[in-house]
Amino acid sequence: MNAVEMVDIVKQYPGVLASNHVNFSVRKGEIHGLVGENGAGKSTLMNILYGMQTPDSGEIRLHGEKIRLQSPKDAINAGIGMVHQHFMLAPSLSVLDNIIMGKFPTKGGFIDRNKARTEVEKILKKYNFSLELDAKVYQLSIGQMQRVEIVKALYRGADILILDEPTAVLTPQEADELIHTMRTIQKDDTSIIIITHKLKEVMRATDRVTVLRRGTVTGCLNTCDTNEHELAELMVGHELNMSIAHEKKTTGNRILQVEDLCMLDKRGRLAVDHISFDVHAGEIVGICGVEGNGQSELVSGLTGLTRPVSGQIWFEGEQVQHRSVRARRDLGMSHIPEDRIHVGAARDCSIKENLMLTAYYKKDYCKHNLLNNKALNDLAGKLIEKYAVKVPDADYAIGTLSGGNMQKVVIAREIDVMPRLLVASQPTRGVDIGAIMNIRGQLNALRESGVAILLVSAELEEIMSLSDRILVMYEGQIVGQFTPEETTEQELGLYMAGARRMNVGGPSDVAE
Amino acid sequence: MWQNKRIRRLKGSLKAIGRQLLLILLAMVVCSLFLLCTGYDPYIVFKAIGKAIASDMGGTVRWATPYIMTGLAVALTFKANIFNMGVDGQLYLGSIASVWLATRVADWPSAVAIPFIIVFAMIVGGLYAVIPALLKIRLNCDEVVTTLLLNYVAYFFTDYLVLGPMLGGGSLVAAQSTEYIAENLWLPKLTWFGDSNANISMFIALGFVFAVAFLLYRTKYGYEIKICGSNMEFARYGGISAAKTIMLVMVLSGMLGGATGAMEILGVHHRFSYRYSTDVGMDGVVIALLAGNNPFGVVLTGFFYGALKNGASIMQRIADVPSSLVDIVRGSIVLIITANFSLKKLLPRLKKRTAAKPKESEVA
Repeated sequence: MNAVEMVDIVKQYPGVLASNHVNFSVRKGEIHGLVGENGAGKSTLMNILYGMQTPDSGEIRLHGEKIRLQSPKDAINAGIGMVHQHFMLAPSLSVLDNIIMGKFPTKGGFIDRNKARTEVEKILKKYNFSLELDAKVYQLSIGQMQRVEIVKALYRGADILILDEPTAVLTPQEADELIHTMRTIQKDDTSIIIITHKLKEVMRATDRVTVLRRGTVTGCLNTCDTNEHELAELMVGHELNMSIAHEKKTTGNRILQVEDLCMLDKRGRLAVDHISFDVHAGEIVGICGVEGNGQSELVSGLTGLTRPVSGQIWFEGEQVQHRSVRARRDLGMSHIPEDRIHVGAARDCSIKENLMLTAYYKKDYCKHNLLNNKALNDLAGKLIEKYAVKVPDADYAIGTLSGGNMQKVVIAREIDVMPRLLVASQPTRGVDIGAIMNIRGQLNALRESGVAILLVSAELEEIMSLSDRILVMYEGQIVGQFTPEETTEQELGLYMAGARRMNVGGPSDVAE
Repeated sequence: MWQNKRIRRLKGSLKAIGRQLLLILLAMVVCSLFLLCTGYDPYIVFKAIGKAIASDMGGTVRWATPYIMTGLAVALTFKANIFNMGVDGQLYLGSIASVWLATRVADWPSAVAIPFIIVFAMIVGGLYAVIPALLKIRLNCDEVVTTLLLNYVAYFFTDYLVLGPMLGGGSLVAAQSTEYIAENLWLPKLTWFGDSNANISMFIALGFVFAVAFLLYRTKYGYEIKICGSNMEFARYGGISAAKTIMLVMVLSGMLGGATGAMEILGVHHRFSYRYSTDVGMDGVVIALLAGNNPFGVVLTGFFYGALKNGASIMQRIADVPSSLVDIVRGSIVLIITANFSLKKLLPRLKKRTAAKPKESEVA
């Protein structure tokens, strides 16, 4: 009997069909991989199973019984546990307190810690886990924190465990341990679902695997009957080419040159590991890679949001790695950020105030520190019209716009300043097909007008159709360099998953 | 289109004013309920405020002035999502600095000396605010804590000055006060309201209101403040220096605090007596919140707070109600403002829950 059965699940978001009649089942006591690119609908499906979202139609059965999950609480009561990518732990509390949070034995109205401790220790012993129950969570390593989350789910009686990108934050050694842990838990007839896009791990850890692409299931296979190539093909698919007429033309001067750049992530780990590359005028260089392989850090280093630990960034022959964001922008660098809501916009400010960010201090709009409101209003009106932002007027809060419209505001602001270099990070994420085509068209037009573009995208097909050159990032390094003509999405997928790598030097000609 | 915008803006302003009045009214109702329980006249708060406005406008204006100033000081930092809880300390230093300078420029023409004293107090208050701003920028210290604690430093420092080197002679020793400042430095009184402490510092305060509004709505700094307050990440991404903005609002806020001190000394007290001012800066926090951080809103709420303060003494006179009752009104206001904020978060959740409920029964 199947532990989980999700039948004909449909979930529509504005502009995106996140789950398109999805059927998904997990057997009792199996480790099931759920793979797909970003935006393929993995998280939506699991959020539905965990009760965080309700499907528009379709039904969920647990151990053969139909059930309605309205909230995570319902899911927990039904024996589903979820370990999120970002841990939900209280760092200042002890491991024991974190585990028993939300469900604890009481004695006379007080928490019976002794009883709780014996219960938790029973679980630890059963699976042969080592965990210091009295340690504070902040003292633990990431791998240990994850184990706390797993034990917490087991303590609450979960027999279906969802792990969201469990290895994304782990070192290879910790990942090995995690796989071992999963194998132990599995023996107890607990079903485990791991959401991932690392194919190697799928092959190593799972019994069966379901592949999602654009909200549809493209395959459900026994792991032993398949291979990474087949999975990559199913993930990416052979779909109609959305590429735009892309004329090859000679590129101009070198605009951006990166040499031996090293960046740390927020945790202080090396996220960008001695990267060198360059971008010329009139060229789109696409960087692809599974999210979390250093792309975000690379972008924030290039644009000046974070300082590199070492290496140089040259912008039209000038060293800029120590320059401020404003200085780099004034030199002609523009930036479409990957997180348009938290970085690319101020939600409760008006559209006009969002549009004027890159212009307000310039002499056409600001004299003697006084804003020229008429000029700024004209600018906002002009941009809204030129970039077809659908709004009644510029005074509306930008938070009221849809994703696609908000992205139009961001792009209008960033490309209307006539940049020399545009760093575009996930420019089409979460916007509808029409807007995707529009945005890609604009990037291509910019390229033809001689702007250098660095395109960072998790959408392989976008990278393939727009780029003149493609760089693949894996674990902070460039592991492959291609032109779109000489490679396939399947091949890129292998490099992205770390299954292959080539020796990539820096820019071919270091000296100008 | 142009007219639409106008109407929408007007509607927005009216709505904001309506919200303020509603909150105030609610607080007064809560207070009345309390009075009813304790056996006092439940309408006494309304009556006292009515009287404070109708028959003692002078007293109300006198108190509205510092409240508008401190409300303005706090609102300015709130705009950038920075909290200056240290207006009281800046006010104390501004006050003592005014007295100190006043004794040195007593023989100057008042038209020169008075602005000079106010500017000096502003510089002192502004410099004092540099400390928490630097701590925030360099070491990421929470400015709420540092500004609050620096208040005590200012209190004790002025205690030392007023009880030590600056203590006045004669009866002023018992009064724990400095000497009076020269009379030509006293700000002229407003005589329209009869005999009261209302003085022209009211107009100085209104001048500051316009200055702050101008800064916020017409200059590039105002835009930067707004963007920083709305989304710090967005500001950084656009190349706006958060450090510069934090420093700017803190220093300006401290300057307003310092100016308040000078205006209190030159306009009302004419000397610095030991711990003479009580929590005007803290009330500024409530005033700013109540005004939604709008400089013009601060005039309205500052005025209300002035009436409340003035009403407190009237209340005691007409009904023998302890003036500390006003603290209950203030407490209620704080409570209601914070309740209003959390309601904004709570309401959608409650709605979701009630919407989900009938479905839960289906599951069973």
